[in-house]
Amino acid sequence: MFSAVYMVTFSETASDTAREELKSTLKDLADKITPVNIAGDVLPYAYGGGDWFLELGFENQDGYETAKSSAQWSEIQTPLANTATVDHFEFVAYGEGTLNITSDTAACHRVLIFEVVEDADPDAIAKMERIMPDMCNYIPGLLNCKLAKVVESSGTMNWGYAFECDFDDPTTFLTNYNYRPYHWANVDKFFEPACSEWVADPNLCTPYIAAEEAFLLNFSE
Amino acid sequence: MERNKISRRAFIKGAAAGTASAALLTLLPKNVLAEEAEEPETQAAESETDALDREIYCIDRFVTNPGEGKEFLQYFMDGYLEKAQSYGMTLKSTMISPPVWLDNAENTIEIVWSIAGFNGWAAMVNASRYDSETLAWWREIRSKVVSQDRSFYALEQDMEVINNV
Repeated sequence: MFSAVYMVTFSETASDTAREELKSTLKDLADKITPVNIAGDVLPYAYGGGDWFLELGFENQDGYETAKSSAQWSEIQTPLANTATVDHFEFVAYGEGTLNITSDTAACHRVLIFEVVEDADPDAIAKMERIMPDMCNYIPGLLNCKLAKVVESSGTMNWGYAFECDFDDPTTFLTNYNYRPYHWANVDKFFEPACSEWVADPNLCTPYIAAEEAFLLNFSE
Repeated sequence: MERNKISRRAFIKGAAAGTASAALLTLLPKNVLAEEAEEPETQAAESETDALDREIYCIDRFVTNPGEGKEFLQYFMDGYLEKAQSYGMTLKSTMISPPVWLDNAENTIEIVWSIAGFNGWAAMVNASRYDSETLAWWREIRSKVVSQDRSFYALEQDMEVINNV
């Protein structure tokens, strides 16, 4: 699956009505662009990633490029540019990457995006690409995941990677996912400036939303 | 899932945790924390707390430039020991290999810190990772040595507990 993700932060002064109208407008446009999409309010205590999340899925990058040339895609940009409602938004587009599927159901979807620090060790990046998708095999409740290089982005950082996850429940993201040593003693080294494997700038975004399906299953073999 | 269907305990513990959410502990409303503290601990919660409190170890390993071992260690400790203690890290030992300061060859220095479990690790991350001075410090340190590594360890006897939280 090739994904295009919007992480929207509303203006503080935007009314509830304006927020709901924006969400409805963008979701309707997403439905017209591709039936494979997921949207929702970002759940509490997410770090970065704003207030509302929208992901559009395509079979491949060609499908994404075709969608980008559509009228509906252009229409998405108009309400996002309305500063009375939208403070800012992050956008990333990324492809297949390394996908690990262990379940065909899920109740939570999450996308982490981060910028690669300029002096990151290429060996550390290669190691990260190798072991992050293995997290599903060590963390109960993390059902499916994918690490992919970002091919197009805009927003507050030069986003380099997306790590996409399906969880069995939103609480898993805040509990087991963090508690397990495979995360804090292994994968987290890529996020820790004191470690020689440091790859990711700390100014990352990691919104998560409630889901009714395992979104990563779309277009998977 | 609606927000109110997610247990507050999970969010509070989760907010103390991990790569991305560690930074958020300080943002939690105090009244939520206080309210949470009044909830009775279940047996499962006690077990989880025990697992998250098991001591873990952080080992910094440096291979110094030839002849610079002693000077580097002094520089590192002068600049980092106090910070590390403020992050909740306790200095357990400093070891040198070979145990003689070499004039024309590399020394290896291993510094062992203890941390009060996962919760201590999350607090350490919360206190240090988002500090631009800390980021610059580690870049500078890496420029002063041949190689550097930080890894996290647990006692073998705690492996089962911490991997079943």
